[in-house]
Amino acid sequence: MRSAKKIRKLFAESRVTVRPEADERISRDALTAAEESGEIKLTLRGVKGWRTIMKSRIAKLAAAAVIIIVVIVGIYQRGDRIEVTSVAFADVLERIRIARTVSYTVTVEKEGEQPVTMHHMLLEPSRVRVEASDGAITIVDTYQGKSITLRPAEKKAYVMSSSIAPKYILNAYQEIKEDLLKKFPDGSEESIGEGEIDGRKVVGFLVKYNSTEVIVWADADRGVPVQIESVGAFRSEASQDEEGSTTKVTLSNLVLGEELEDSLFSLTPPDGYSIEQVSTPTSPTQEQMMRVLSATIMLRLAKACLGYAQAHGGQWPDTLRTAIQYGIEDETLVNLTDPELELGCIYIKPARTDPRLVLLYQAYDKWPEGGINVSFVDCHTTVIRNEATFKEHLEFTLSQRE
Amino acid sequence: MEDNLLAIRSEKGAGAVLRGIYDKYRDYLLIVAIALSHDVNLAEDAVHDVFVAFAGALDKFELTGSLKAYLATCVANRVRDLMRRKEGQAVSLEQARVVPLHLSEPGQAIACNEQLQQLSSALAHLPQEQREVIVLHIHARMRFGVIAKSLGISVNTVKGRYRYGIRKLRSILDSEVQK
Repeated sequence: MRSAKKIRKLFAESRVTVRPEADERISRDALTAAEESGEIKLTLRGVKGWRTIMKSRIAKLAAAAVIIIVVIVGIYQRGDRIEVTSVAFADVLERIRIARTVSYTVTVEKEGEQPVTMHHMLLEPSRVRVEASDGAITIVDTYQGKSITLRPAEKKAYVMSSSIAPKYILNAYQEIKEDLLKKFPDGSEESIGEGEIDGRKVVGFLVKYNSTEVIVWADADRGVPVQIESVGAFRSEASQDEEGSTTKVTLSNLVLGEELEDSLFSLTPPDGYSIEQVSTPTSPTQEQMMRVLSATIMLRLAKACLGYAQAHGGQWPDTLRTAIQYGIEDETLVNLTDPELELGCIYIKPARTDPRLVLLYQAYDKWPEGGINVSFVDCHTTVIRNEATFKEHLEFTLSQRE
Repeated sequence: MEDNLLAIRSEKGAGAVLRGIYDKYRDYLLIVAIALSHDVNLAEDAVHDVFVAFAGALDKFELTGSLKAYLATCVANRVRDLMRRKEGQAVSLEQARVVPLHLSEPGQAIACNEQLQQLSSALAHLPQEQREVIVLHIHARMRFGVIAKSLGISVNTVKGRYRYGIRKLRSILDSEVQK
């Protein structure tokens, strides 16, 4: 039947773009309601009977609280009680997804350069601590839009406040984590057998992503990931390098779900430190953090533009603000790595949907030492360090305009 | 298979799986709800309510078939309820032809692509009963017998609604092509 076929095709091609706020709303409301609600009584009597359940907003919110509570309880149950007899990659991914805290040592080995080692601690949804090998400690709280870099040897603290509204960067690291997980869909892995890391029996999974090979080692008994190694560009969409040089990144001593003291993420300078308020990053780590945040926001802007184009028959927005209902608001247009600039990023309305075309790039007066973030039409967002490389992309993009 | 596995894990209390279920089926169920309601706000509410109800009763929940089909049926039921509540403000078929029914408004949390808008607009011309059967059969890939059981009607009624609905859709889509 012709119309059935057409309807089937329309269904297959149907897409929705959901703003993160929609997902977050339930959690937020649920936590509020959890404090107010008492006993929760809900019944489910099969497919036909469920409709009697939802009668009031409070009932909805209270029930939503159950989701959160069950999820949180689930985390601990999975970590401590459930026995895993044979580790599946899906379980490993799930453990990464649900972890509320993560800590690991990251070693970056790039051809012709000295290896760089740092220790990262992440406390979701908003706090990160990076301990660099030179002793500098950078703490970022994306919820507050603040960061501090401590230099113990000099007893100096550099405090930086971002001008971007916290609500836009609240879940920046969650988004990065989700981006990472999307690259490793369950079923894409190859088992590479067993091994041993620090006396621990582990099983390995090999995942190929573009030209990058990633090995995820997980505890053979519990399925907890303990080490991730990659050769290529194993970084988030928001921070991957365009140069394509071979880089080995190893995340070792990976610990998920451990309790991390609040004091580790304090933005208050320790006693005896001299304090300097800064508006731009003062350490490589701080700069990297802001760059990743900036790239994450640009990724969101690019996705908003793409969502607009998808909903308008391939017509891209004339300006960034045209796409306002798809996730763009004024605050997201700030340049995090150089907040002084009036314009955060430059949008080029694409002539067509071609992934080689530049969609957005970070505004700059003088080419920054670390390069700039650039989003392409397919939404992939990358840092371009070389100005000549960027100009080639830009010239090509502009040459394609009518 | 995977659905069953998810169900088993849920029974064991691995509540984090709920998040996985939500991530896995969110878009699919939103499309069901939008196709049925032609209203993204109502669709969002329907999917929200279904997940909340599902989570709230997980300990008593026993899945015997496909979780995907079950959730799709729940969404269809919920959409029907919410639409009935809005009956007083219901838009007539004639209005539906000219009024873009909440598919693309500023500030909305959900945006539909062109295909979904076209689909939803075409389905909006059908009675709710025919819409349900078409969406559940074509998109949710449920057999007529299963739809009949879940809606509490006979298989022949389901087939009849499907046949009439498809016939009407054909004329709607053909007239769109001619335009």
